[in-house]
Formats: sequence, structure tokens, C-alpha cells
Amino acid sequence: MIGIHDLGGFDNLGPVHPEDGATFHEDWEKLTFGLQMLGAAVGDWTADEYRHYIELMPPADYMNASYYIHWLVALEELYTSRGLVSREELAKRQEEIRSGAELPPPAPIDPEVPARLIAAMKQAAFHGGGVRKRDQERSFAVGDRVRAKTRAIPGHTRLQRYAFGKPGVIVSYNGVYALPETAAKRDVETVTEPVYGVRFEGTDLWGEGAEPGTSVTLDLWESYMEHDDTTQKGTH
Amino acid sequence: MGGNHHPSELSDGEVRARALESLLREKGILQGDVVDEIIGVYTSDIGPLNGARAVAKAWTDPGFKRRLLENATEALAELGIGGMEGENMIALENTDTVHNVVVCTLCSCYPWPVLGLPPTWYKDAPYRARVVREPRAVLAEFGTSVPGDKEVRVWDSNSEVRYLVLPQRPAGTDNYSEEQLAALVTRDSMIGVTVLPDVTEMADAR
Repeated sequence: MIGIHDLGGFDNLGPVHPEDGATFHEDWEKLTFGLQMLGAAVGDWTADEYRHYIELMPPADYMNASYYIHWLVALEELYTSRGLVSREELAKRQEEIRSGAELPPPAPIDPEVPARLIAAMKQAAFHGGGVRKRDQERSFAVGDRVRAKTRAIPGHTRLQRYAFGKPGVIVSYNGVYALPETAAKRDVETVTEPVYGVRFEGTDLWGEGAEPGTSVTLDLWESYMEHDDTTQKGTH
Repeated sequence: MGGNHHPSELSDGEVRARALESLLREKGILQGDVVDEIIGVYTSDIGPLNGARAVAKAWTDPGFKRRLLENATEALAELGIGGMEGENMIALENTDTVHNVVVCTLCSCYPWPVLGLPPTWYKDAPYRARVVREPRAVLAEFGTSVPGDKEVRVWDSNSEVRYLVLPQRPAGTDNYSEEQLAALVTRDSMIGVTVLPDVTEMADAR
């Protein structure tokens, strides 16, 4: 989808604030991070499904909400979609918290549960998951001239709009990964594809106004690009 | 997590996060100090000191530097560094002719195992929108002036690959130990928005 999250190149968003280097500003942001990490232990969702729920926020809401509100939007969708909590329960509990009502007590602690959750989260934090897939046949090679496709498709994608239709050169082969379009959907079989680093010159992306001597390198799945015969003819 | 605020002071974020937490605890899905434990991992155990260790080693050990640039994931694993959001690392070497800077325009992808969790400016819209289009102007806002004849390469982290910038070693550090060098390496220099000042210059500035 062409969404508000696809921010590369937008004008008029104001200055960068280098002085705001903190990761968290408030305790609830840390809590939200913790609930996201808990998902690594109790949820079955992919990063792409998580990202897509954020992308589906109404654009004005997305721009007005702070970063960890984006995360809460995704977490509420994920925890409810798996039936771990319900929308009705969430709304009721939020109202209870707003009004200062006494909340139901937590379930009795079974020491095995926190131990298992902490172990699972630490496993993820220090060892990660297998996001790289088994190698498969490649249709591109380092040095190839390519063109990013124009992919105005519904749903999740990781191809930035600013690269649509632009010519670039493959600078690296980065391994085989799940295609985000499929990984974001629970009811679709996940497809894997080789991914390459592709360099785009600033002038090709932004025209005459580009800063001289600049480029942007993106990672492109094979579905995101095609061989660029026109450029090749011009350079040989 | 604590929270003894008067209800009327509660922000939308606090209400929503606490409601989700409360329900997960009531159902026994979340128990004990699990949340504090994992936050502790990312505020104490994993952070830019990891990246700084790798950079200092690359400056002092040519074999490690070669391995880091060839396969950063494996080289970092030699130092015990790896994990979620860093399963596939690429190291980008800054040189006399090339300066590298990293962004995620689509969300906030960032190499957690080497740098910890990202700073707010990295996740906010202005940096994501602008650094791909006017990197020299954005770098200048960080106090970083890149000469016009030096190429600026921006890396937009849109896949599961994560990037670590290998900054240039500051002048005046020939006699520094690996530990002393690591202490000079900042988070921002490993994102690529700053360069490390020469040590003599720093001394003069004081």
C-alpha cells in the first residue's frame, strides 16, 4: 500500500531533533516495549504483520501519535486477533483505569511461567530467530543494472514509493528472506526470495534538486525489480 | 511497572498500555517481573557499548576488520554480539572518500544487538523523510560537515538486514588501547550521523 509510513522524501515535516536521543520518555513506553517483547514468547506473529497494523493507521492519526502509540495500536490488534484478550475486555479495562476503579488481581504466579517467558525473550534478544532462509536460485547478480518496479499494490510491502520506477545497480547479495507481502498475512503461504542491496543515485531519485554526490541503497526482493536493459544499452 | 498517578493525569498511552498489561496478568499470560527483566536486558546488557567494542577491535585488529566487512554477523558473533534485529548484519566502512549513514524510512529498523534501542530522533518522521533526500543537510544539523568531494551513501533498512557504520579512527589515538578507543566511539557515529573528533581537537576545545 502507499501509506503514510512511507516517509522517504516528504517535505515540510520540520527539523530533526538530534538532542532527543532518549529511547524512552515515560514508563508506559517501557511497558509497551515489554509487551511487544512478550509477543516473541506468547505470540505467533511476524514483524511484517506487526508493521502492517501500524501502516493501516489513518494517516492523520499516524502523524499525530507518538512512536509507542503506534506500537500499542499493533499490539492491541495482535493480542486480540489471537484471542489472548478481547476488544470488549480492553475497552472495559481502559475505562476502569481512567476512572481509577480497583482492578481485578493478577492470576496466581506459577513460577514456571515467568521463567519460561524470560528464557524465551532472552533467547530472542541474544540469539534472534532464523529470519534468513535457505539459499535458492537467483535471477540477479552483483553489478546488474536493474529498475525498481512501480508496485502500487494493496497490503504490506517493503518497497518504498520513492524508488518506484527508478534505475539502480546491485551492490550486494544479502541472502534469502520471506517476502513481506506474504509474511504479513496469516492465511497466505510465505514465499521466500533472494534479496539484494541496490544503489540508487540521488539524481535518479530526486532529480536536479538532489544533493550532489549522494546515493541511497535499498534492499530489494527479486519481485521488487527487473533487469534494466535500457540503461545497459546506454552504458556499453 | 509502577504508576501511582491520579487517574485524571493518565495519558492515552498509559491507559492503553496498562489496560493490556492488566488483562494479560489477570489471565496469567504475563506473570511476575517478566517485563522489567526484558527492559533490563535492553537498558543494561545490550547497547552501544557492544558496537563500540566491535569498532575498537576493527581499528586495532586488521584480521577482525576484514572479517567484519566480509561477514559482520559472524564477526560480531566472535565477540558474543548477536540476536533479534541483528541476525543479518552488514558493516559499512567510512573512508577518506565515502561517508555512510543509516535510516529506516518505513518504520524504525535498527541493529539492536550492537546499538541497543534507537533514539527518538531516529524513529521520528523528519529524520526518516529527509535523510534519504538531503543527507548532507541533515548531517549538518548533527554538526557533521562532509566535504563536497566525499560521497555520502545512505542505507535505508527496509529488509531484515541491519547496518553498522564503522567510523574512521580519530587522529591522535595511535597509542590508545582497544579499551580506550572503545570509550571514544559514540552511538551516533555508528549510525553515521556524526564523525568522531580528533583527540587533539577535543583536548584543545576543553
